Amino acid sequence: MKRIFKIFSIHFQDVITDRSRSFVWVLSSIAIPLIMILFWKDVTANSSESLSGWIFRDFASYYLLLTVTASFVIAHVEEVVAKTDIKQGELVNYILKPFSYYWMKFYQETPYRLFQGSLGVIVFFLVYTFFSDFLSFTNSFFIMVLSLILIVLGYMICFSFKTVLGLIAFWLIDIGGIFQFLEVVLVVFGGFIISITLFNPMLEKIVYFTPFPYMVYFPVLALIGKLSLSDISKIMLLQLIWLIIFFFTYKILWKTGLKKFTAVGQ
Amino acid sequence: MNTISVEHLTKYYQVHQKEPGLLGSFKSLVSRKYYDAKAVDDISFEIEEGELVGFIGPNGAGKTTTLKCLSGLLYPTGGTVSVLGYKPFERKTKFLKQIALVMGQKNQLWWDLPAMESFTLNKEIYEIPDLQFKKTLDELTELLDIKDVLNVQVRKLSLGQRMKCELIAALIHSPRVLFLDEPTIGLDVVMQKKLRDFIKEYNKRFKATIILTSHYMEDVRQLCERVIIIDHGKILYDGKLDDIVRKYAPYKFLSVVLDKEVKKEKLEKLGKIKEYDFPKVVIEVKRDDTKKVAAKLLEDFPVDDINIEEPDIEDIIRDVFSKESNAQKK
Repeated sequence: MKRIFKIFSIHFQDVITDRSRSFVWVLSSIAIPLIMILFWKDVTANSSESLSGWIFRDFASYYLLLTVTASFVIAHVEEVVAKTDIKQGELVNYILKPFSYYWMKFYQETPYRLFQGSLGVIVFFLVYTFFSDFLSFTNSFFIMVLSLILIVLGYMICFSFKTVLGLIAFWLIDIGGIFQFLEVVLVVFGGFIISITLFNPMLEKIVYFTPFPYMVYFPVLALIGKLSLSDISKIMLLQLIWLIIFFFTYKILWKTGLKKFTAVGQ
Repeated sequence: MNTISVEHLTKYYQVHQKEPGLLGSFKSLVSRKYYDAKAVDDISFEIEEGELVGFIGPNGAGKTTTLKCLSGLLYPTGGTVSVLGYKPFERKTKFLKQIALVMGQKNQLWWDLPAMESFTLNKEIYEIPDLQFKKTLDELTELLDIKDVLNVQVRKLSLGQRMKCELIAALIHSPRVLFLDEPTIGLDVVMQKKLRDFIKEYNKRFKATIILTSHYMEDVRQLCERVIIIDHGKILYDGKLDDIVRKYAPYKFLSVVLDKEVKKEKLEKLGKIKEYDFPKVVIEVKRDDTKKVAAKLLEDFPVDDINIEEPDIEDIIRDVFSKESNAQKK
């Protein structure tokens, strides 16, 4: 444990040194949710009924918590894995060390998530201070605790997914297009544009077969009180299943990919 | 058991061969032709503990590929490799804790943090006890004379200082086998000498087995008693550096300064004239005839000064490569 803590703390120092990047990221990530809140304010103002059970307070809380939770959960490792480590050959520094590459990347990325997430929490409390009348959250402490577990599992899924994505650079020369495409899929299927419950029912079912809603969307739904205990336990099970799927996928891709790695900067 | 044992090592890369032009590009969308580029082609050698061996060869010879197979970075296509009794490509933890690979153009230090943080990180990764870490760090910083910059951000260090810190980061776990791939590349002559002195001292003090690749003959000349010459993936020579000269250059040069001008034809009777620019003349003679010819020169010609010189080892190796290259073409 002491060893892991020391490795983690060294990486955390690097995050604090590069703090300006985190500040800029938080500021830039507020813009779109703000626009969506204003959009739904207008939509719900013109409608006397709720939209699939959603009122303005739900939308406002949803987008605010989406921003905060995403800053904790959405990992950005795929480019480093694919471009810096595999393509430029920096993987050499990792594979000859007696430490798992997956966990080393995890300890490099997690401090960024924690630091940016904490900035997101500050933004949340600032907004809550002035606009609490327009926000609504679960009043169950137990569900709030479970939501935190969903967030942690959501981060693990996102991190594992992005790491696996990065590993395809072992086989493909140009991966930028794939990353961009999957980023769009993540934004849409992750509920960043609108809640998945407002999708066409057929599309909604398809989305639940992908890992994307289990990253940020369901943890946020739990926090705003849209999920029952039974729903949360099912989602947690599905998150664990996704983690197992990514665990095995990583192992296979890593083993086969290393056989192709030439360590020159491909 | 030898520290390093290589038998019939082969490494091929699959390379896509595209026909030139736009038509070739379209064709490659549908069907691709591949060929096997032989980077290392059936090489064998053994290295004992504590040896410092130089690997020399032109660009693309297979030096770095061999080093990567020995360190476990690459899977061999064929043959067997054993380092400290382990198969390198299995990358077992115990094996990784005993080796280090330093590549001149790659770095592992954290750019925005002082070098000391990278050393501490490696300490935890390699699970080095505190006392051993401190002892090794003190020894290495003393050898490299780098104590005063350990707490400076790596981005603010000079190239030479950074290279020294890279070495410390690579050696902090006291590896028994060290692979150095062009460690002096890009460094000035003063820094190159310091690094050579360090490598020599490290080899002597810690009895580490070291394999070094370099384009600078001075690195090999200063450090390695034994060299392995490799070209087109094959070993051309494996033995003492001094023996290369005897094997590939059965001649010496007599460098003469004349008092009075002498006709070139008279000197040609003694040997092959390499240079003739009065008052300096350079004559190539068979190794066994050197003393006899020198005596004849002093007796029969107005000689002011005479030197017996070995051929330059770089020239010899260059000749070896070009002969092999011509043989390959045939």
